Amino acid sequence: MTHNVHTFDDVPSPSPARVAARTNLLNQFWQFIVLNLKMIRMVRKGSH
Amino acid sequence: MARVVVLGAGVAGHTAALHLRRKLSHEDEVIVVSPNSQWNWIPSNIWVGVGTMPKKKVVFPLAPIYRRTGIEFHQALAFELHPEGGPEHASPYVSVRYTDPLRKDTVCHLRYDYLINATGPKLNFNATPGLGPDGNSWSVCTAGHAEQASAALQTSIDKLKAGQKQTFLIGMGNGTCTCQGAAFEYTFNVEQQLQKAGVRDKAEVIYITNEERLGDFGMDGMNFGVDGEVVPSQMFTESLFKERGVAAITSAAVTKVDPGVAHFEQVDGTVSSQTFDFAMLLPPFTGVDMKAFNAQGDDITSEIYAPSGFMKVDADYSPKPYEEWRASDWPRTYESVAYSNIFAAGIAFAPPHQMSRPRKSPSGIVIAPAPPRTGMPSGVIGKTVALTIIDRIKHGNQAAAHTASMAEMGAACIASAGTGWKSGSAAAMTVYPIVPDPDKYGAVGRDTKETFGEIGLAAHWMKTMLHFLFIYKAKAKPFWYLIPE
Repeated sequence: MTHNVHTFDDVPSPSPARVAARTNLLNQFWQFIVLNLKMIRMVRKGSH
Repeated sequence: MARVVVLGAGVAGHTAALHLRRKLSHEDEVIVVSPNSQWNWIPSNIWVGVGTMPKKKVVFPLAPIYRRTGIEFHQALAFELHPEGGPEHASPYVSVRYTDPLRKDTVCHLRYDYLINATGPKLNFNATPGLGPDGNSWSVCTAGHAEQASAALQTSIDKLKAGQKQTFLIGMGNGTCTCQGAAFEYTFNVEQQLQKAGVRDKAEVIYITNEERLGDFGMDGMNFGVDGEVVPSQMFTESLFKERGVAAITSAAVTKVDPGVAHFEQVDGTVSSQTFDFAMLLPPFTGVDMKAFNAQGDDITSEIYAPSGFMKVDADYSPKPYEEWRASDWPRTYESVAYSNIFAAGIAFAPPHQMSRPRKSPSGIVIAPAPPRTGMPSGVIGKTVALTIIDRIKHGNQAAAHTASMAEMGAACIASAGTGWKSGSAAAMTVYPIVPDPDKYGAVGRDTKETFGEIGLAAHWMKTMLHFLFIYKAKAKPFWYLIPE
């Protein structure tokens, strides 16, 4: 038996455009650069 | 000539040892004690656990690396600390018992001038009856466990292909677990494997957690700054759960795992159980089993270690309610409260308290995610402690300590949601600072310009890149030290 199992029916889904962007190679190549820059900034903020 | 002993060869200990060896003179000794013969890049264990990466890609033998870099390696388990000397030596020493086959169970007493306790956690499967690979559920905490989980997962997938329905239960095996991120990753990697096998429609995937709400991750949740708006990590996470058809049981403490059934209690007092065909449930962590004695032979374990078994350092351990927690409670130098030549790095240090609000069920079961100490802060702390020791060896014991408070440090975390260079996905999250500081950042707790979350293929590429980069670094290959922790 199960109780209190949430299935998130009322949670908004991402738009089709957003879902497509997640696997669009050009878009994700740009995101890869952005993520690396964010990581480097995070590392530099933590250095004392 | 100074002698530094490092207990543990995980991210914190191994990082510390490599930096110590690089910066100290050859007359100074750097000694590593670890019961394991291999180094494990733990973040990739989840890929071993779903069969998309072989175990040999996430481990490598430590001895050759230490031999090449001039670090003395003892494959042994530390069990007693004598910070004031004792029967074996007049000066401080740690007692270890060998685990390598040639010297198995032989005891040795290693003197030290400085000690770094980076032992990592004890996987406390015993905290929940029936939990763990020796019981009724699987684990991905070690590469070996992950291999077993992968084999069991494949058995379930074969049953699905034969037309049987299967229920997959993944998450926390106790109310006080940490590592919600790892369970999240495993959940979505399993879900992807079910999709790839063409059997997703017959499978029910359920995530069970001690978090009050999804996206908590033991960090009291996060608030991501997205295009000028603040998006709670709960919304970010629930959206992914909905998208991938994964259900969740929250605010739950698993109390017992029988074959095919996990029993749990929730914070509202609900007592229930969930049947499963495959379960991967993480154990809670405690400190490793170590005792400490003073020069007279009196047991001083409780002076050095918290009841959790983690080592007390320069944190504020005074009991206080959630509303009175402060960022300043967290340690900065990681020096032992009792001995200035002992440090605790990575998971081995005792945190002052959780980050998420601790709760109890009406019957008294603690449902409180423990604070995560992930790879990035563990590596930073290991290096920081090493730098302090290096300065003290070179410039005297009064040299100022380097600092690395988790309340002044950010972290980047990439939670895999599936593999494949064109089909993979991960949630890339940065958070600053790791420990929320409402005094400085208001109700959102953190800097929303630096706290960010994004899901996509690029994050999977990042996670894959980090896999190779950190293994390169851990093998102390040329210019390894240029790769930040």
